[in-house]
Amino acid sequence: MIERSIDELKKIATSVRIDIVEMTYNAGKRGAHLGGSMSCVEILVALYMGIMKCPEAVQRSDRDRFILSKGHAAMALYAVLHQKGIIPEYEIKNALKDGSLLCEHPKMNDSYGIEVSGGSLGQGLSIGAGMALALKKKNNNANVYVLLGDGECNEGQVWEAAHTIQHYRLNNVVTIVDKNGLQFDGRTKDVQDGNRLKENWESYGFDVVEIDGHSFEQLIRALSDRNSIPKVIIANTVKGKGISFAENATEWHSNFLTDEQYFKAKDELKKSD
Amino acid sequence: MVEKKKIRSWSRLGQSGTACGVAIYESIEEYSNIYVITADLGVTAGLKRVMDNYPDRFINVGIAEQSLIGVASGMAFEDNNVFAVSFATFLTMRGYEQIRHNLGYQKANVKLLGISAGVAMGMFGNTHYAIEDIAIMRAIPNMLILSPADALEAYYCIKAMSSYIGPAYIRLSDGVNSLPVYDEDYDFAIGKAVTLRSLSKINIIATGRMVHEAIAVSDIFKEKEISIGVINMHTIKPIDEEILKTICNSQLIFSIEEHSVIGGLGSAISDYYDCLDKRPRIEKIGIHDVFPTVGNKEYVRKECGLYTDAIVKRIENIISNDRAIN
Repeated sequence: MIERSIDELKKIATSVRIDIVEMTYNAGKRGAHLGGSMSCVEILVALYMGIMKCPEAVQRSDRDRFILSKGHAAMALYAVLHQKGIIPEYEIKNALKDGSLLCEHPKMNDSYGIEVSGGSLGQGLSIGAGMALALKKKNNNANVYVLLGDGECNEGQVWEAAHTIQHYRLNNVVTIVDKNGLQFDGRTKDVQDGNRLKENWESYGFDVVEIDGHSFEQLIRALSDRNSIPKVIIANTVKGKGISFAENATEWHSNFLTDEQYFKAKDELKKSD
Repeated sequence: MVEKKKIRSWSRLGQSGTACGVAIYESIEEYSNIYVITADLGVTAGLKRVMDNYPDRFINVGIAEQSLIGVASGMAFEDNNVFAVSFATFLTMRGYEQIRHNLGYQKANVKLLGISAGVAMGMFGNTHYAIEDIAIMRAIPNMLILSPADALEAYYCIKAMSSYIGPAYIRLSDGVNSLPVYDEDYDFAIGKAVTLRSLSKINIIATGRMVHEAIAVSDIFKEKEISIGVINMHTIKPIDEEILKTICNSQLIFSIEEHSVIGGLGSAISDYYDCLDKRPRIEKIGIHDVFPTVGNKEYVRKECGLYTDAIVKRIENIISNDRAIN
């Protein structure tokens, strides 16, 4: 059981999305990775506001660890940590600006509960495997959650890590794939056949669960149900979720918001609340 | 105090055999947070004793060097000191971006142990030679780079790294039955070069397997009544600026390394002197921007001019053509 109700989680998700819109707008004409940040909001909210134990307390050895392997979704992580009261308001206002601690890809930061740096795709699962292995060796019951993108699964290192997780039976690492179906150059299934994700993970011996990645009910259930086999949750999501003009739109992988779009996006999000 | 008998037996094991079979083994016994991880080269590296006696402290990720760096780093982020072992070439080059991201950027407490660096792999060919590894490791911020001269020094490098917190690359050259530079114990300290022949107007700075050659060269010149100093630069980054400052008035400095002359020890020395108003003349002896013709390691070293007679001739030519030196 988690402490917050589904309605509360939904409200937090909306606040997270508004934070993401604010950060994107603040980034100015340079733009920001809005699409992939929006698609994983419910996943991060479910983890940080429901499932994970003390994720913000990097100094506590029994905390659950989270690794944002799809580092370009950093805004979603910053926003969730902001809603959790870890990252202060002024940092969010300053995010993505020159000299900010919060850049387009997360940088390891103990004070803000950011476990590892991200940005170079394909690396997070290996780091998660190493952490999980070390935790098992110390009989530490903490879990490691790693969020990958479906496009990111093009990277060979992801499957090197899958081998290791399977070989060492690391059921204390939970892999989540944010399957929003889009990557830089277009549809994931057109770039490389992403429709085989489920079969690929199954062939590595993982317990694979496919869910609606925007449904808190399904996320909480999938994240709570655990067995002795390493688990992968394939979360079907919508890139740019919550903003009509950004949903499922390739150009919103990384883009800037005009004044008009900014107000429209906020308006839509507030109305959905 | 390491006994002479041990030094002789470690020379037979070589740098890798001593580092993995003796030093890491001892360190695992001493420190509970040390782990060893490899990409399918445990036995080759000399880790069999660790694998047999400390299976819980040994991890094998299979032939997957990129993930090796990631897994090692994840373990290091959990307050461990992790030795990641593979051939120097695959370790530093296949996993380069992972090293930059985890060890450089995030300062993961991982010690990269690259075995068979330089041309030690002989007939295996250029895929297995690590002749650019120093250059690329030097370019990564926060990396410490060690390059021991012989098996005893390899032992000391590992022992030093067992209590050192931070990323490092330890470059192990040569194979089994390596030539000893030290026949008795000495004081080793990270970042402090060792003077093996008295410093003079002409000095050689060498690293790794080439230190042995440098001594042989100096001794030949001594018979000709020409004094040539020899420095063993076992720490390449950070380089020992103090000793470089001491010899900044040398007429001639030779660097010798079993590595490309681009970006290696010679470049590191040049980089230091570039900052001074007056810089000594530096001649870089190494592999000159080629993939060497393949053969056993002695053959390749001859091809590249990395053996005593060739180095002596090169130094003689320079001395005789440059009146300012005499």
